[in-house]
Amino acid sequence: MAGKQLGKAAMVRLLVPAGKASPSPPVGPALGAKGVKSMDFCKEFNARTAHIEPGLAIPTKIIVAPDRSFTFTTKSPSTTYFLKKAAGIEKGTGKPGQETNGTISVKHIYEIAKIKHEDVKGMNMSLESMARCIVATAKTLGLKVVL
Amino acid sequence: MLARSARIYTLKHSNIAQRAFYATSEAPSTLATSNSTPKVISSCPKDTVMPGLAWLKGQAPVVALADEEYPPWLWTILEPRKYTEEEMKPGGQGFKAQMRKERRAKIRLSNFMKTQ
Repeated sequence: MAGKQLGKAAMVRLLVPAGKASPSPPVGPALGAKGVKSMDFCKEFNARTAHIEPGLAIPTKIIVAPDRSFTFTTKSPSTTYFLKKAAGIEKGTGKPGQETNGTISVKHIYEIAKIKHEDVKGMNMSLESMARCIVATAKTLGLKVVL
Repeated sequence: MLARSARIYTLKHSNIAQRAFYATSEAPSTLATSNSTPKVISSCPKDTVMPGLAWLKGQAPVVALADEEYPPWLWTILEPRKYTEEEMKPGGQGFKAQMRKERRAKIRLSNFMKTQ
C-alpha cells in the first residue's frame, strides 16, 4: 500500500437504545475515546432506528477509520431478550440445566427465528438451523421448550 | 483402548426433549392419522398472543397460527438432528457433524489423560 501509515481502524461494539442514542454515557465516552463525534453518530443512529420500538437495546458495531470517519451496522435485539419476553421472565436462571424457570412453545421459537434470520440473510443458513440455535439459547436461560 | 475411545461425551438435552411431554398441564399429544406421520397438537393454541415479539414501531402483536400453518420441520427441532444416508457420505453435512463430534471427544479425552 502506497502512502503514509495512518493507523488501524478501530471497532466499537455497543448496545444502544433504539431512537434514543445520546452523547452521554455509555455512548459518549466509548466513541469519544476513538475520536468519533458522538452527536453525528447519535443523529444517524436515531434516524436508522426510527422504525424500531423506542428504547430497545440494539447491538451496533461501529468501525472507526483512521481519519475519524465511521460506519456502523445494527442488528436485531438479542435472542435472550425475545425469549425472556415471550416466556414472561425477567432473568435467566443461575443454574441452567438444573433449574427451569419458564416454558415456551416451538411456535414462539419459530417467530423469534424469523426475526433473527434477518441478521444472517447473506449467509447460507436455513430457518430451521436458526430455530435450532434459538432452542439452544433457550436452554441456557433455563427455559423448557415444548411443542 | 478401543473401549476408552468409545466413551463419547454427550450433551444432555434432558430438559428439552424427554421432559417435554410431562412439562405442562396441557401436555401435547400426537395422534396417528391415516398417513403415517403423527399429527402434532401444540401446547400453544391458535391466536395466542406472543408478548415482546412485535419489536418494530406500529407492528401488530404477533399471534400464534394454527398448527397446520407452520412448516413440518418445526415439530422436529426438539429432537437431535437426523441425517440421511446421502448426508453421511464423506463431504456431507452428517459426515461433517459426526467427524466434529468424534474430534471433540478425542480432544476431551486427551485433555483428561494429560491431567492423570
